[in-house]
Amino acid sequence: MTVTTAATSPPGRTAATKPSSRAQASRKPSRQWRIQERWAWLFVALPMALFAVFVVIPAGMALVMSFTSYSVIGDSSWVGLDNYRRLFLDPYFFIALRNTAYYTLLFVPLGIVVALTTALLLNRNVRVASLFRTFFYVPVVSSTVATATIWLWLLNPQFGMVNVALGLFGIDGPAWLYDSSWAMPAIVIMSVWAGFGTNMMIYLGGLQGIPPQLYEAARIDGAGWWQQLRYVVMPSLSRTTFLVSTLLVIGAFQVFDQAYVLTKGGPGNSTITLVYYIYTQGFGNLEMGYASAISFVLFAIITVFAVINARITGRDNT
Amino acid sequence: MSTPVSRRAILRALGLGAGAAVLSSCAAPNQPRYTDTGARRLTMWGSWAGDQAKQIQTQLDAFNAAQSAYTFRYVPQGVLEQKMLTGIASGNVPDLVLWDRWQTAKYGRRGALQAIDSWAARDGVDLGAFYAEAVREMSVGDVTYGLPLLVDTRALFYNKAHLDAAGIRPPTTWAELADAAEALTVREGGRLTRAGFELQDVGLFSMWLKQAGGELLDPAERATAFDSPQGLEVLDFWDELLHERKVYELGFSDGIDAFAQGAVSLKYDGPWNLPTWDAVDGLEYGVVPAVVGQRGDSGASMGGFGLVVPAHAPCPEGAWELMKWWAADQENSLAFADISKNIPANVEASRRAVGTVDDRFAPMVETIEVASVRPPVPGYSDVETLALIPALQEVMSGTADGPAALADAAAQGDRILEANR
Amino acid sequence: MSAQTAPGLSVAAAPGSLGGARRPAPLHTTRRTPGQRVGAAAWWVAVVVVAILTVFPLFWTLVTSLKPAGDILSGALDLIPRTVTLENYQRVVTEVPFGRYFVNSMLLAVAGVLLNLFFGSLAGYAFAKLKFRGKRTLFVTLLGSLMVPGIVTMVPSFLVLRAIPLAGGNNLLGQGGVGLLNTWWAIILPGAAGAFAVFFMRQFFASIPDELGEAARIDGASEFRIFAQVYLPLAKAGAAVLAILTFQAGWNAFMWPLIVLNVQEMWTVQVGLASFVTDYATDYGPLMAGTVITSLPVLLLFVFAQRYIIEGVSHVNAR
Repeated sequence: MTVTTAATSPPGRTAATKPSSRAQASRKPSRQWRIQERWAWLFVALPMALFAVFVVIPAGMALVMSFTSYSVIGDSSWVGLDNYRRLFLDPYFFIALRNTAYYTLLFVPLGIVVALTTALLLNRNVRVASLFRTFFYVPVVSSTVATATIWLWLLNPQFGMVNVALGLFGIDGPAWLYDSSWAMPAIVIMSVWAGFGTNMMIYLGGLQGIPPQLYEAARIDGAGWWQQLRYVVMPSLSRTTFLVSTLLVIGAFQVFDQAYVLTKGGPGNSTITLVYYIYTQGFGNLEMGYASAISFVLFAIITVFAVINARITGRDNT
Repeated sequence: MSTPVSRRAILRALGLGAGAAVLSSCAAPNQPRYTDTGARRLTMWGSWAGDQAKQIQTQLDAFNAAQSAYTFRYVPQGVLEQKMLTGIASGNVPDLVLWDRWQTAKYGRRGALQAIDSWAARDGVDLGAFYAEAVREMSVGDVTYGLPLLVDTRALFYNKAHLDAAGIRPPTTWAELADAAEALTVREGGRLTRAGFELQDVGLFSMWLKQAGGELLDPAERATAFDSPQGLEVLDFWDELLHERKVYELGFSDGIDAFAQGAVSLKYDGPWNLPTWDAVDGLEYGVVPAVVGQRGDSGASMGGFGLVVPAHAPCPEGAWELMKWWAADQENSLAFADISKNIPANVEASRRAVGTVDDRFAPMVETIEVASVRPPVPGYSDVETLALIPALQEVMSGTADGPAALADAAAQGDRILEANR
Repeated sequence: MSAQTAPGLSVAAAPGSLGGARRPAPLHTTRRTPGQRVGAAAWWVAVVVVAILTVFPLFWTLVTSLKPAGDILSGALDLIPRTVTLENYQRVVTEVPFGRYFVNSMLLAVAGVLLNLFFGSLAGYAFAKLKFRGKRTLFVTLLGSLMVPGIVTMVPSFLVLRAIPLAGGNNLLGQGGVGLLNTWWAIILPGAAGAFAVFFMRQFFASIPDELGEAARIDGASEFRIFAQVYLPLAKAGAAVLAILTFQAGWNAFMWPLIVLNVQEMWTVQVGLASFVTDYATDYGPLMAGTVITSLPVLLLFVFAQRYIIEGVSHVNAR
């Protein structure tokens, strides 16, 4: 699926195709372009209509809410920038921000590495690899409630499998969810475990598209597996990596389930994430206006990081 | 060159339209407002589901049979708070709601609930017949917004086999608790295999604080008061239990039911676990009231459910009739206590329940008499969840120092209360 | 030439390498260098370890679901049940209308997949391959919408659904009735409106060369035919992954169906499962049994769809 010949084919070939298509484009009659445009609008019409009604309008409403003291029930009034002023003076907002940033910094690289490694391990066309792929996908399939229950048990400081296993290596495992330095890493591990299957499949799709000739060429040039990885695989996967990392970054900043089900923000407020804070303020304290304001600040932050991420993975997304 | 758009587009639209027709016919049909016998159909919401939903419906069936003006139906709601919010926002509210009493003040303050004082006065329902703290939890100032239905508290559960083997009697004071817990703790090769006392839930701090003679907030309820010698006394006691006498380790009972497994000898818990533990093979246990503090002060925390009527409910009179019948009438309260194995909020009924429903309610009822609720002050829940509990967690795990953590929590708590005034 | 060839990356020797098994039949019978043997062994160790880590919790769930209630609590850590019973499965099916919930979830998940695949492919293709005015703005809006936390649009979305004109008793202005609330549309439409499917498919389409479409256009094919017959088959792997993800999202949906649906008969499996967890106690037996049952459809879908992802686009390389 991700045929990345555009990125990896020898320069000469690309240069040969591009100008000719551009030349062709300029020779295209404008009527043909208008017909294409009409088709394009037809294709996007219904999805965009749905998008406008069920995504844009609610988001707009939420934005307006952020300038009011809306609390769903009772009276609400326009308060202008008060909510935004309030959040910049709110120590818990910054605690949540710090926690969320910490989570993202740990989760995204780890998620990419694990997904890519497992995809590389299982990129074979043999029966047994197919079986293992299914095994690796199992965590994704489990429901949140079951996963949380299982991990609570696994992370039990005395009986849990994790500390028992660490004990076999002579390591005295920490109290995980009761230790404010280890609770967030524990959640990161749990999230990576629960989510890597999906990204592994995306990477597998990407790996499938790398033509064997590239490996051949690299081998002939004397490249060992590490060089093949660096110079053949990684560049070919750059578009896939952009997709995976964007999704991971966007998802990481919005982490909620684990805080809600497993730790309720503790211990010592070390796992309050921004979305969890938004939830407790909005639905718990009925301060929807304030919750909206925090959401849009979060939105701005995510946008900044998504742009940074696009630069890092070097992919122009248009 | 390009084929006409129309044919495909029309086909697609027809397909979607047909699908739409099918799907919309699967929507729930509208309920008729009256039954065949002329009784008005009313709805009750609550968070109880599964088996417990059946318990409620049994009680409602009894009400439906006892009079002919109204027929109630119970609809369990998975996330009741969100459901109430969206229901109120869209004008789609039920007639009666069973929920955690703790939510009441928040909604009542904003005008989302019906006040019941006038109805109670008109129909001679005496609010004094309920536990005062339970009524307080459902009031904002002088206005009461519902009737308490059930109360619960935490009493001390103990494993009979463990205590008998060690020759210890169930403790009644802090000192006895510490000694008993230490004697009951078993360690093999330094690893904890049986904890004497489960000291896990820092949320019970208010209970311990009262037992030490302290208070969460000052009498005017304007500032925090837990940063006090009594508060420090609680922390010191916890420290003694955890680190000197080593009766427990944090996280020991996570993910498993340690008491059921016989891995914990003493713990604070509520009546909700009685059916569960009764079903465990080989577990012999008993219940005693919560212990008293070093100066003889007793304290406990009270929780429980109440019945409220949303503002703009379709038929508030019908809802009030059910509320009255269920919560204020002793016989009906007792009947529900029997069905659900919970303690009624009606004081007399709760005492009678000890005899008729389960004699293990006795220590719990005894504890409830001295129990208090969390202060229904605006912003208090934030004080607890954002300032106090995290500080306590840090102290328990050894990351923070007791006095400093409490002082910091008090300062933050005061700020939160101030902001919410 | 390096003698250190890890199994995954060498095309020449081991079967099923990174580049796909296009080599002639495996060389089990040929001599393997010690390096390759170590490599193969390392592969097996790594894969088995990860497999244990991923499967073990589900295995424990399965084992717990077969234990009677008392044993679950007192013998939680036993990996082999002392007694095996099917009572938990019985309880799941009888205490809550699980069959009904199963059908509901299936309906929602399948509808979600169909709509998302349809819209996602069409719109994703348009964004990737066609030129039209407003494309860039629209796309940036799409991407931006993914970054708005869903939790804050819950109440507004609810209000929008209620105010849909001419639905559920509403007049032209959307007043007076309940709109689309309490219908399946309340779940399906917002689900199909999400930007994720479009963004996802757009990335897949974008990596397929433009020349294919250009060539077909010169040959006189309509845009729709180019989409359906040239590009869509090449994006099978992406579509398969999207199908799995969307099915799962629909299948695991919990909070939103609860909010927009008023009657218990329309609930989903996750809600059914959650009714075994109260604030005070968790009924582990039926919860685990229910979890096992609800994990199966997604797993089966995954096994089925794996083929499309892996054997994805081998024929592209044959150009």
